[in-house]
Amino acid sequence: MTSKFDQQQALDQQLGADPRNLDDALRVEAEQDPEMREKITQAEAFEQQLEAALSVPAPVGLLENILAIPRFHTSDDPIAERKSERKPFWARRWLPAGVAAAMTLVVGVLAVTLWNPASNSTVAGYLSEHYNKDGLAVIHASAAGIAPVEMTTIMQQVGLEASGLMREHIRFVKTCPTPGAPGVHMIVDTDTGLATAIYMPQMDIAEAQQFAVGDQKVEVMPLTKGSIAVMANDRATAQAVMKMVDGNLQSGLRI
Amino acid sequence: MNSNDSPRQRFERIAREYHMDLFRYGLWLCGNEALAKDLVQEAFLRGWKAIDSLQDESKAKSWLITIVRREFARTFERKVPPIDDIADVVVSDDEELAPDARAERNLVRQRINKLPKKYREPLVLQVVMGCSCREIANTLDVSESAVMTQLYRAREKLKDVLQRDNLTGELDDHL
Repeated sequence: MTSKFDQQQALDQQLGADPRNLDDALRVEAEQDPEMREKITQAEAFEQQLEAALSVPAPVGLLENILAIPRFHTSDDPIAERKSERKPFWARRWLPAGVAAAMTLVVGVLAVTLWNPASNSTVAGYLSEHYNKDGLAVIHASAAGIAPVEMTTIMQQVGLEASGLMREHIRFVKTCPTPGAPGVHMIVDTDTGLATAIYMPQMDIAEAQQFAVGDQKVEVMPLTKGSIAVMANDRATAQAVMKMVDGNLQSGLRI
Repeated sequence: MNSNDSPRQRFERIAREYHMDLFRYGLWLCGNEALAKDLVQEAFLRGWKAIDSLQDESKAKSWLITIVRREFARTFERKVPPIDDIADVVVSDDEELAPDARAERNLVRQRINKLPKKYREPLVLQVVMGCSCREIANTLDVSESAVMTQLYRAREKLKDVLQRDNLTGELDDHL
């Protein structure tokens, strides 16, 4: 027969290690013993305290971003396809780079006229739709590069100017539809890979945001006018580009 | 569960069931909200890519936990600085609580965050993810008795330090 001391020891061990799965025999014993019953009551109260403390709220938009994953990944090996950064058939070496850029411009113009970004006015929602539409296509097209004069012209159209490190690392620029006004879609070259930066002149946010869209890690920052979103395959690259943006991208300039 | 459900329906069901607890687990693992979101996103991304081979949805939870752990170890462990104050990380969810109750909850959170990982992780797996001791042992690749010892010590340490906090009214940094 187990002694009361042994029973109390067994109870202490169980309440410490696995209080939610208390042995039935111990529970029956505890009902007869006020001291043991009190230990169980205290353990249950402590578990409630633990559970409340551990149950931090999930960030807004977490589920929506996760549920958007299937929209980004429909082929068997989309990551391999993206990492290889193969040029699409119309931009392979027999096609002059200028023609490729012109075709991208046509795609961009069509996108502006056919797509209404006002259908999704949250930052994450808009970026998710935008990247899903032409994120990879613009990355592919960026291989053609862009002349500095053309880059300046496109940016000036939306009151934007890049300088210093930011300017040196922009590989490609095109206009794009953003909620409320045309913005600019940039591809930025970094030591750790390419990043997408989207300037949204009429997307005002109160403070910087971080989230993910599909497999893209996103940083969003308010500017003097509007805001800028940076999307990259990893958080470190996105943050590195955002550091470049800070102080090197002026918005709200006279158009 | 309907065996005629499409992969997307199965994925959405798994996402709705586990996303919140998986985020909580990731947050208590790495102490950084942005990184926890990335870990969870990565876990579900891989879950989607493997959805056709995940026929038994009851295995999804342990599978997702394993991905979060491995991604954390592989990518973030070297880069994440220690978080001293969980209040800096956790968005306040306690507006309905009285100030004393809110302070007490924050204190418990800080104490949990200061637990060594070998005690904190099994505790989070048990309380947040609802894992049994056997499941925790499989996840952490240790024996079930080792898990029970770690859980016991985790609770004892917390009770001990919280009792001292209540007695002194100040944070005692010795854990």
